[in-house]
Amino acid sequence: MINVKGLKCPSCSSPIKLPYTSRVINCDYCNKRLFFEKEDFVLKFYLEEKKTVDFKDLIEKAISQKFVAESVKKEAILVKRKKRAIPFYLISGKRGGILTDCEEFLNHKRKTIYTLGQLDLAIEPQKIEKNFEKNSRVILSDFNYVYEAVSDIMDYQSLDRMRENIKNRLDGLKSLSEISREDVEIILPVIPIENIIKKGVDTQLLKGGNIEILEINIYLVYYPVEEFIFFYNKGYFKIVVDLVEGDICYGLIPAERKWFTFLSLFVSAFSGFFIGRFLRTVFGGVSITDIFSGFTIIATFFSYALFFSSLLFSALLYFSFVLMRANYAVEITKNGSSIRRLGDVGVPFLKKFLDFLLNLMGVDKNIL
Amino acid sequence: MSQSKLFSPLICRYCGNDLVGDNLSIGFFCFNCRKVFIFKKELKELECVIFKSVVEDKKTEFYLPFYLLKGEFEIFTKEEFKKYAFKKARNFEYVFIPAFFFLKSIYSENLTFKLSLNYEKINEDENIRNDVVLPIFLKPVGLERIAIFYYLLYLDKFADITGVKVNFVIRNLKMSLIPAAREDGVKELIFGTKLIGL
Repeated sequence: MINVKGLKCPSCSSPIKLPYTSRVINCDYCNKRLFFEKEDFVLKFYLEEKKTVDFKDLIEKAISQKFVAESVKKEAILVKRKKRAIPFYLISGKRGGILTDCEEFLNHKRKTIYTLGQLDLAIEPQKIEKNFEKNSRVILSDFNYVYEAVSDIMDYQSLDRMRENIKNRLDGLKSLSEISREDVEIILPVIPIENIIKKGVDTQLLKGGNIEILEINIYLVYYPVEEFIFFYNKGYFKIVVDLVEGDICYGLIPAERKWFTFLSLFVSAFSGFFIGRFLRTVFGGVSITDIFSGFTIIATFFSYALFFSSLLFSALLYFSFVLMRANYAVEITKNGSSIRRLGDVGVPFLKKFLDFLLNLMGVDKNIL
Repeated sequence: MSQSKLFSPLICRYCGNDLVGDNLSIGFFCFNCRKVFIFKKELKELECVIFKSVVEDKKTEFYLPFYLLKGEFEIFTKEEFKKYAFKKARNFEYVFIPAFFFLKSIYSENLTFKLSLNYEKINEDENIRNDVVLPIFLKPVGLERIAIFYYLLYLDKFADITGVKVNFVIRNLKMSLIPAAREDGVKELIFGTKLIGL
C-alpha cells in the first residue's frame, strides 16, 4: 500500500503526486522526468473522438422516432450536457502453442438480428470464423480482448459495439493524460481486475490445442460519450451520443401514451364482444326453466361455461387496465429503436403478454 | 516496495543525458551511449543496436523496437526423417521479437523471419539518431519460450513438428531498432516490407 501523502522526488525530495494515467511524470519543482516503477500500475488510454459531430441533428432524429411523445419536441428542456469516459479493460498479450488439428477458432462473432426490448431473444446463432492453418500447427500470435470495467451503465448491444470499436481502433488510442479532467468526467472502474484477467486467460485457453499464454498486459481504455439530460413532464430522460462513431448510442425517451390507451380500449371492447357472442351462442336455445327442470348434467355444464367466461372476461379487462396504467419509453440503441416497459406491472405472467404486444407494435432497425 | 524505489529519474547512468521514450513505454533509450534501460522489478540495461535503412528516398520517421536474442537452438526428435528434414533449415542464430503490441502479429511475424534469416545482410547505423521509437510494451521475460515458438513455426515448413522438442539458451540479449516510415501505411525500411495494423 502506498502512502500517497509521503511521495517524494528522488532528485530534489519535493512532494509529488501519485501518477494516474502514465508511468512517466514530471517533478513540479526540479522538472525531472520520473518513472513510476510499481508493478501493478495500469496504463490508461483514451479513444480518439470523431472531430465533427452534429449533435443537434442527432438529437432531433432521436426525438422524431415513431412512438416518441409528440410534445417531447416542444416541451423537453435540455438541463445538463456532460462528456463522460466509460472504462473498458483491454487485455493484450501473446499466446503460443501447437494445435492438435489444423484448425483455429479465431472469432466468435455474435450478431443481433433485431431488438425485442427487454425480451431480446432473437439473437443469431454464434458464427464461428475458422482460420485453417494449412501448413502449420504452431500458433504464435498476439491477442487483444476488451471487457467493460463497469456494469449497468448502458445496454448490452451498445457496449458490444463499443468493445468492437476499441479493438478496431487501437491505433486511435492516446494517453488519458492528454485529456483535461475538467472537460470529461472519468468513470472509475468497478469490476475487479483479477476477474478480468481470469476471464481473458480462460477465453484464450478454451480455444483448443495446447495453447499457453506467453505474455499478458492489462490496460484501461476510456470510451468517450456525451450525455444529454432533458427535463420533460415532471421527469428526466437521457440521450447518449457516441463520440467515436458520432451517432446515438443510447436513449430512453418518453413514449406517446395515446397508442396504449387506444390499445387498451380495443382489448377490453374486443373481449366484451367476443365473450358476449360466445355466451349468446351457448345459452341461445336454453331457458331458465330448462335448466331447473331436472337436467343436472346440462345445468352443471352451463354454470361452468358461465363461470370460466366471466373469469376470462375479467382477466382480459385487467390486462387492458395494466396496459393503460404501465409506463412506456422508446429505447434507442445502436441497433435501432424499440418500445420498453418501465417499472413492474405487478402480475408476472402479464409481463410476457405485454412485452409480446410491444414487440408487435413496432421495431425500427435502422434509425440512424 | 519502499517509497525511495517507487520513482526512478529518467537519466542515463553513464553520460547523464535525458533518456528518450514515450510516457507509456517501459523502456527508455540513451542514444548517446546506445543503451536502453528497461524497468521491470529491477532495472535492466541492454545494448541497443540501430539498423540502417537501405530503402532509398524514404525518410525515417520512427523505429520499431525488437528484442534481439542471440543463442543456440537444439532440436530433439526420435524420428530420423525429421532430423534429416530439419537439417535443410537454415541456422536461426538471431531472433527478433517485437517489443510492441499495436502491430498485428502476422506482420511482426513475417518481419521477424525476414530479419532473423537475413541477419548477415543488414547493417548497423553508425550515425547517432534521435528519432521517435515506438513504446516498448513487452517485458523481457519469457523471451526464450517465444523464440522457441518462432523456431517451431519455421521448422514446421520442413517437417511436422509433432513430438519435436526444442531448447534455446540466450547467449546475448540486446534491443534493436528497425527503421520505419509512414507513407501509404507503414513501411519497414530494411527490406521494404509493408506493415498494416499500426
